[in-house]
Amino acid sequence: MQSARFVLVILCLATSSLAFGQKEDWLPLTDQDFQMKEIPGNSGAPAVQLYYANYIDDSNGNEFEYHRIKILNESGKKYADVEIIGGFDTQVGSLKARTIHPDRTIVEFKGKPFEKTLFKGHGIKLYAKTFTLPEVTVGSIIEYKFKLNNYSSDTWVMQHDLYTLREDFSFHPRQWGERLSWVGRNITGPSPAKKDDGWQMEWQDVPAFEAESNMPPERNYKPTIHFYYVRDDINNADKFWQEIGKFVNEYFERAIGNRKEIREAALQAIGNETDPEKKLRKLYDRAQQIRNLSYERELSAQERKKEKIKGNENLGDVLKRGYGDSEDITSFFVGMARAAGFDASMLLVSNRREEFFSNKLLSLNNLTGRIALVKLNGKDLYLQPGVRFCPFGLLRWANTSTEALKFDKKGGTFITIPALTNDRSVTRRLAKMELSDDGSLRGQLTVEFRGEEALVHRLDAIDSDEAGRKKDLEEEVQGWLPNGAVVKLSSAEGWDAPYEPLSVRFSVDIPAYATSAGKRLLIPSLLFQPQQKDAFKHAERKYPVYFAYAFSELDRVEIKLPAGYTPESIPPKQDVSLDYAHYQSVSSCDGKYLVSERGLGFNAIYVQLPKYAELKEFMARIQASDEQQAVMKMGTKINAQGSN
Amino acid sequence: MLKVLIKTTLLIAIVSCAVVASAGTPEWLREASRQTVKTYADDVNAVVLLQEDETAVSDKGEIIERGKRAYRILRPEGRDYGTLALSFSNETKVNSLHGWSITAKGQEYEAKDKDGIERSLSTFEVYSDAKEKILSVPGADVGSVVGFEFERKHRPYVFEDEWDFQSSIPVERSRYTLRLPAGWEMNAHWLNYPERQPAIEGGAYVWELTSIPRIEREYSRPSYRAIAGHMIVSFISEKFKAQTYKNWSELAAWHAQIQSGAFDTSSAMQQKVQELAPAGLPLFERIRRLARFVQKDIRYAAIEIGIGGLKPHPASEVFAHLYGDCKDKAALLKVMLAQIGVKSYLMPIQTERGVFTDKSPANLEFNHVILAIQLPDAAYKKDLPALYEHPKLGHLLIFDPTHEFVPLGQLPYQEQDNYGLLVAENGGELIHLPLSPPELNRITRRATLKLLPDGTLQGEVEEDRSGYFASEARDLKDVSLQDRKKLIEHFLGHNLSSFQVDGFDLENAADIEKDLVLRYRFTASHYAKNAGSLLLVRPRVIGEMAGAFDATKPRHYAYEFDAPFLRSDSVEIALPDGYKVDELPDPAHAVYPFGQYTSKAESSGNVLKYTREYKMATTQVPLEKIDQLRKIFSQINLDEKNMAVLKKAN
Repeated sequence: MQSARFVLVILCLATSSLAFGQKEDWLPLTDQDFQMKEIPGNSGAPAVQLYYANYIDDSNGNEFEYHRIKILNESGKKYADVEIIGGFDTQVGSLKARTIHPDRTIVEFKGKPFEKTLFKGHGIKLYAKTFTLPEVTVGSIIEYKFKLNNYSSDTWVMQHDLYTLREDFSFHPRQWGERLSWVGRNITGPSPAKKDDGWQMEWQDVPAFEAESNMPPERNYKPTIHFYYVRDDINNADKFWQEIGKFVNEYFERAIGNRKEIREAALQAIGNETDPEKKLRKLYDRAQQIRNLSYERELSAQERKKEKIKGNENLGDVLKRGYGDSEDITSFFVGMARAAGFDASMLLVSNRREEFFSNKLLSLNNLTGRIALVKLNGKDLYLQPGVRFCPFGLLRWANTSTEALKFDKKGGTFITIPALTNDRSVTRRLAKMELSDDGSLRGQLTVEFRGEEALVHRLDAIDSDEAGRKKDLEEEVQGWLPNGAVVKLSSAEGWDAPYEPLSVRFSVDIPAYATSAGKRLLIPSLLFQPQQKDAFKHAERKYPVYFAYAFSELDRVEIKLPAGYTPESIPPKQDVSLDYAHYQSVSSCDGKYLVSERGLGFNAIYVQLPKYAELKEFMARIQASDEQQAVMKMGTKINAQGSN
Repeated sequence: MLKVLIKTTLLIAIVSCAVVASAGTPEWLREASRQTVKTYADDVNAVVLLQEDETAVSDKGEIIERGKRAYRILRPEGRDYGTLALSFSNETKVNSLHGWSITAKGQEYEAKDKDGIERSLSTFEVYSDAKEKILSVPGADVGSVVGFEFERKHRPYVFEDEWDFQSSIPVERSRYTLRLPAGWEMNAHWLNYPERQPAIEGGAYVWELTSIPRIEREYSRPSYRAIAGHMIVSFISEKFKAQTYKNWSELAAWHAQIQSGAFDTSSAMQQKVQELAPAGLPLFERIRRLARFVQKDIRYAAIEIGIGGLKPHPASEVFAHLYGDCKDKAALLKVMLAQIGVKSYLMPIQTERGVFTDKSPANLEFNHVILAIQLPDAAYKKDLPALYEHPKLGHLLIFDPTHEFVPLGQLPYQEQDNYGLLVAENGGELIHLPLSPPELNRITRRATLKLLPDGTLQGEVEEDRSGYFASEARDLKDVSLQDRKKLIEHFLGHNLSSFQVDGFDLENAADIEKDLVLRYRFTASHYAKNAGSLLLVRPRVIGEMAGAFDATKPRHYAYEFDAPFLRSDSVEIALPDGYKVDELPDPAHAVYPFGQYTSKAESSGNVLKYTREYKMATTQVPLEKIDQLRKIFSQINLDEKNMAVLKKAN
């Protein structure tokens, strides 16, 4: 029941445009072009794009591009190597290129571009035209233009890897009777203006795109204009999604149906259970017993044939064959829930891993997830039986805090899937260690991943063998510990038990954990290094801070001390809070054991720029606290408790 | 354009599995699949059950290469062995390529020639005619045995072949057969593996090995080719004398012959030489200026078609276009130097140190070309690190015109303690290139800092870099100020939890003759930790020097450093009023003949002083001294964690 079947339906409602262009001569060279030595506010940038043009002519099926680039330093010379990708039915034509020296003399590129095979086989060829411009020095202006014939494009991309002074765009539509419309994302300059029967736009001073660590999906920050054709009666996005909802509803209703064998399967799964939630849980477990092909290696057509694996047409097929993809399994669950008397429906949910969803973009491309929505005791319950190892009540993080299309026979509307709170994603670490006289620390570490953390680890490991899982976990834990730590996994339990924590035990050996200074021994009280510090190295950010999901870390570190030392100073209790985050650490020492507990709860995924400073300070205080050391001294025994 | 690429990626995924279902699995593969499964280390992804290669040389000088491969996939990561890529070019043709698989369930699949795809092998080049044919077999999963058969036809420039029997996975059986026409001879040389004599079977030479261990992955291991067992065989025929060689001198003569057409000049070039290096200047300065021109103003761009991978473009063309690859740059500089009366020789080299040794047989495994400049006495300077004293040619100054940031007189690190083929007019030889002393590759870091009563540390650090460390960091000059600041923030972020960069500057970045100087100023809050009435301060402040080392596994190979070096830090921290040093960490002392690490923390009035020095005198620490190296790394790790204890004076 692959939703690729939607495609034909959707094409009737909105079709992306097919591309192409318009001729353009070399632009006149201006004094400003020659005078430009650096980019204002970004001294030392390797090159600047003085001009960029992209003319899409969908009526003739071609597209024109023009680049004029000035080389500002040695590393900018790399822009003189040009690669233009063509292939399938696309031909690269009308290619012209030249180098303009700082003294304004012009050297035309007279060579023939090379054709580099990117892919050839099965009657298909994809190639790149490559060439390099001659006599390029720092201060040179290079420019090239070309036409892609038979090329389909429907998007203007306004931000490039170079700062661009001026850029021109046009879109000339085909004449097939549909209405041409567009949707823009991150538009910081003028919007497209109607010209004749098409659109055009000019932008100036567009900075280069620079990604940052822990930023939201990059696609959401790159300005683009996407064109599409739409039926005349679809005059706004709501109307579009309403119509889509009707089609999608019809499709799923047909697939889910009301089959006797599904009713029987539901009854069998429920048995004598009468409690509604327990009934639903039994149906959920039954659905997850179906072999989930979405989490297996993709088979070739011949392998599917040999293994007699076919596409399911309806829930009867799913039940009879005992396998299906994520969508089949979610539908199977919805079908059984309905058969058991629940109000259950399917949702098409967006995935925020690569991009935040916008319903202004009239496309189903980002509504790839499937969630079952069930009314239970008057409340909405969101479930994902089609996600392997996903326990009842939990959702995959990428499908939370994002929009989903809810549909019925009247059409489609959007709802927001609730956020995953930090209590649903917990890492609990318990270290029982012993410190030697030489400062080395040895012992056992038990890590429990719960909720989303467990699901993430289970799904990441789905295609690994035992050795692969061991290596991944050991490397993960090594990343939490000081340099030089030797970590050996001794056991891992709960890989296949979604309702249990994933519990992993390690032996840990950290040479030179404690250091000595004269008669004092200095012992870091908290074993683990902060994990989020990469996001906060830079004084300024351009983009919000983004974490995939809210999380909690709960740690307890017990260190047995060597004989002969007594505590002189124990790290004081720390308590730091923000509206959406809380940290606490506390240490104590009885002379034999140094015991520290730490808790971090972070209940946000998206922190806006104005709050970056407070978050940076919060994280700095956490790191400072995590790096605190207990001071032990040879001498009189003293009981110490961390205090403010 | 991105969309076209995305389509391609999908296409590769789709078509790579579009194969026939009925499998004509050959008996040799069935036999291989019946082999008892041995026990391997748990991180062995796959095992080569059979690698069989046959090289048949025809009397016309054509080579037919036939190969068979059988792999057993042991882990999910081993599925890649279900795909075989065969390189080809204008001089090499893939005649056939077939694949099969037998799954753990006993199902069989086949992939034929037509199921394969082709793609360019160009990477850094603007263009190269090297391509590869790729065939994927369905059913390549854990437990499957996959096999391939192929045939390639070569028209070689030089009669040479390799048997690469050792790999990153274990090889159970490898067999190499060489068929030569009557009257031909062969020379076989074994590298990194005990030599075996061939059997003669049906007039062919046959070598066979079994149970060949894999090459292990380790931090800072020598280059793969420097440790993997392989055999190089050259074929010699009087009929094809121009394509055969018996020794380095003959191979150098062959190089000289193919290079010969590249050394032309032009009036524009001659004028440029006069302009750059007028006769009135000292000769060494004239050489330096020409070297710098080729190094800096000739943009690196490689266009390699056919023998173009070995033969330079004419120097006049390279000069006119202002671009070329390594051999083009070397050839151009040779021509320009000739104009001022200085002779030079192109020198092919392999940039992975250790692939060539003084025992290497003559072979073509070079990937780079540099230049040996014959310094006349008038230009001779005895202390130049890249100087090689040749018994006949005298002072040879080895220079790499491709590396933009290594000045004349020095060599890029990967070319030091390496071997290059000196190509003279009528022959040549493999020569051992000099290694710089540690003192030439320095980072000297001086930090002048002040600790505030609240634990904040602020001040300036100055780093003076020379040699290897300077050349590796000079590209900072072409990084925008914003990005430069981010790089500094990234570096400081390793050692400071909360900080801001207050300023930075870079000196001598473009002047490669001078040391590179980097200064940065920062303020780090929460640097010193309060512990009751004490203040704990890490005197090292910044910089991590220990090399990566996996202490959980036994080491198999030597430990490789890029270059000998000398790193020294000197930190002065002015203490807040009212505080004094109460206790200091012990000094570090790990001294061995090949390398040493020492440090010392001391108190001087109101200043906490810390100095350390890390010196490595070699590029390779042999396996038998690995424990000593570990001790140095342990000492560094401990020292970098050490804290000084400050106490408020009463």
